[in-house]
Amino acid sequence: MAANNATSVEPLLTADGTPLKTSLQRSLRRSKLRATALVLPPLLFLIGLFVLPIGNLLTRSTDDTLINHQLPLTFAMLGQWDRQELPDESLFEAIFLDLTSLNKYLIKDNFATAVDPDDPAWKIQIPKKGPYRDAMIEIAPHWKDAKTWLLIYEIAITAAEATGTEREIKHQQKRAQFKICSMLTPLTNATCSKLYKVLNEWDGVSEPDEALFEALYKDLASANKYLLGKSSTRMNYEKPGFKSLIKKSGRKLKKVNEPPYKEAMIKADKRWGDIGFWHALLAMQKPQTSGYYLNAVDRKWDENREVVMQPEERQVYVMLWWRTFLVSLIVTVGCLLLAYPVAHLLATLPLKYSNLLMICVLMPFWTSLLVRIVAWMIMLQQEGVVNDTLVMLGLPDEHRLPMMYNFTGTIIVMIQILLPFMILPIYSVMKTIPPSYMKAAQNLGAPPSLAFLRVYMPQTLPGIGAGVILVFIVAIGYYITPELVGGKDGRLIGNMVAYHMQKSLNWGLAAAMGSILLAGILILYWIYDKIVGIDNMKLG
Amino acid sequence: MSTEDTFVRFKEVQKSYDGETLVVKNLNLDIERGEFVTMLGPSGSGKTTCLMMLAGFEPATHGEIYLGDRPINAVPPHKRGIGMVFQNYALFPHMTVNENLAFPLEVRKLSKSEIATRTKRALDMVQLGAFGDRRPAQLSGGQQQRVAVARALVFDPDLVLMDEPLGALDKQLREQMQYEIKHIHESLGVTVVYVTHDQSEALTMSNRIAVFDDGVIQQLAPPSDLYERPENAFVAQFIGENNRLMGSVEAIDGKECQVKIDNGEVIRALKVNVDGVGQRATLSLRPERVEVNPEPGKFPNVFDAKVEELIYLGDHIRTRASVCGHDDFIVKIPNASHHASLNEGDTVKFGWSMEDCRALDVSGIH
Repeated sequence: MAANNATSVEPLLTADGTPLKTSLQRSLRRSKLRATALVLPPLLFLIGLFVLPIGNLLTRSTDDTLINHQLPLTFAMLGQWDRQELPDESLFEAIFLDLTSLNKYLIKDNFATAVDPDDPAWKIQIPKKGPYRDAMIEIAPHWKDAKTWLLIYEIAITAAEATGTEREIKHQQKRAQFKICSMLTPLTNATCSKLYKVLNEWDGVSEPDEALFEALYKDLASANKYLLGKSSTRMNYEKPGFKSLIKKSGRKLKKVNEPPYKEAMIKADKRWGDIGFWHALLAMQKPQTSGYYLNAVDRKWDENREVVMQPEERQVYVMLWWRTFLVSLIVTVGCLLLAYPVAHLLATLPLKYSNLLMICVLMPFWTSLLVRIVAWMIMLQQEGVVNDTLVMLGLPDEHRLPMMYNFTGTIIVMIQILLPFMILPIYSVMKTIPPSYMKAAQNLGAPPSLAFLRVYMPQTLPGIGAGVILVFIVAIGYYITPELVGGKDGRLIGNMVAYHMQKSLNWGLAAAMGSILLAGILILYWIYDKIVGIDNMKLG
Repeated sequence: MSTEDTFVRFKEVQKSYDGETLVVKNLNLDIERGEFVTMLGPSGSGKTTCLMMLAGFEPATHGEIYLGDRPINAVPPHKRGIGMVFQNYALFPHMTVNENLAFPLEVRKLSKSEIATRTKRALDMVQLGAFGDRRPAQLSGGQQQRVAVARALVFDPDLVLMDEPLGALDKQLREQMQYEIKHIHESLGVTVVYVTHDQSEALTMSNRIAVFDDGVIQQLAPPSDLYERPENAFVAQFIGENNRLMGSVEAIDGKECQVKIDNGEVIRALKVNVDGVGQRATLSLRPERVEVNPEPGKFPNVFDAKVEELIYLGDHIRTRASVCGHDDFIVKIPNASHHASLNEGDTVKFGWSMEDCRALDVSGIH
């Protein structure tokens, strides 16, 4: 008894005197290390190829920094505007300078927190045809110092000294040109070829001469043009017509050298006198925007910073969201109704037949998606197999059913394509239910239908849940099938995401839609967890 | 032998799954009301098929099964009103114990209060009153077993079928459950048809045992008869331990016969199942009926035996010896003071009476 009491108080020791806990940890360390090493590659893979890209894309849904780089002075002054009447001369001057001058690149911290509208450097004009040196040094004196140049000089020299095949050298040079530009401007995909060239001729010590400043001016000017193009696209999302306004003003404002700018700009394009464009600017003022999200649900900011619906003719997305939800719901229910009996057959038939049936179920997986869709086109079109058969059976020729390039077509084809995703989880659960349960239920007095409802079906719920979640999630983001067979009223939100990614290049909007989809799925998942329980889901 | 009390009756029942072989061959069996009948046999002998036909899950290929006076071949399982305990209990995993027990009552549309009382009574009967709210997965094997028994009885069926219900339990629990089921049967007076391949289970619980082999009932008798008076070599072999001596019949004298063993010795045995003089026969002798070094003249059969092996088993010593040319002759010697202690290699005399040595057929030997 005494010995027992002693051991429960003092720490247990192994035979050689080390505490038991220490030697246990030591003996487990190896297996822990091995486990970590085994998990690491897939974890890195997941982070590198899934978490990071998706995270990056999602940040684009709110990112609005580009426009802040383009119009720093305007946004700094915009706060003072009363929003009721057309802005006064000072705001016109600010946007004039933002659009035409390169000063913002030279003034340090121009787009961070410290935009100083009173800095005289904003108003210094760089002569269009040179000489550039004096004016640029007046704006930003540090450019006079050779040290300022050294940073970009290093990049150019390193690239020039690169060795390897001709292709590799060319690639290095190109990279250096991108790198220089991204150091001077917020742009990562503009090239500063002129600077690259003159920096290579410079010795890196002597005082920077006019040639360097000319190259700096010209590269910044083309970068500015590029940024202007990008940001005018962004402005166009906020108010249609903004892009053409900026483009047109760009040409005409070159001739304007003197204040007052208000009159000159309104003369150049009378849309500058439209207060709506100024209100649109307000929506872009912050580096983070919810504009893309509002846009994705057909809403926008009005002049009083309140969320309102888009005008009727520009409302598309809310309807698309509803349609996507509806299609996913119909497809999920359709799949469930078709899959349940098939899965039951698969699970209960003798092996010989169930194998054959399983091949039939898996066949679609082994066939190209496009082939399957085209096959459905042949089946369902106006002159297709199904309609021909119906006409043969007595359907009047002029009443051929429209089953392709519409809502119906999307539903039919999606159900067929997603059916295996429903069958397999349900089947895998049914397979584990011994037939003795049904027998027991009948033995206890339940007719077969009641035995099925009360005993068999509740046990297949985990499979049903898994199948429903799987099919719904896949369906809600589907776009290839609707694209090919959906026609006009079979388009889903996935098609809009693809469209904005590939055609309109409005990645912010595409990312916002993607985020909404993701959030929707997570909410559904959460609801499912609340009702059924995630640990009650069997995927296979 | 149709009496008023016959409750379950198989009449010329045959069953074939593939149309080529018969799993059950011409079965005739009458079970009385309140009886505990066990179908005992090796796997593949057709006993479970019989049970499934009785429960209604397999149709009889030929013949008729009666429940009371009613032929039930055309009655679907859920209308037969037979309780059943399945091999793996088949407790519904998504329902609690109470819900499992209430299921047959709800199906019969009993009132809520009636369901509650009956459920409670059934649970108390198997001493699981406190476990009503648990799920089957939260119970031990023995507890699940009891719930399964309670569920089969909760709707007061006249007939309960049990398909190897104790197969999944460990030995000690199995023995305990055997007594419990036996007591439940005795107190409720319900008719039980029990299927097992475990002979001790069958001997413990049954009123009568039907020994199945090859789709045929080899013998239907109370446990003691089955053990003491097997009618053929298969039953003798299957029930309990048994020394087998092969030979041919020399002479028959009333109920006694003389069988010449293959090594030339002649043994006097009880004539049970031999056709006539000159036929081959199997002599069956229980190991505990052999006496070591008997008093001279006590037994007609006394032979020399050489002790080959001794195995100490606590309550008795299992002795393997060479007798009459068989070196696998087993004798059980009780571990008691007045019994001689043997050593391996000893040569002793073994003796046994004529009545204990039964001359049987040879056909049942596999």
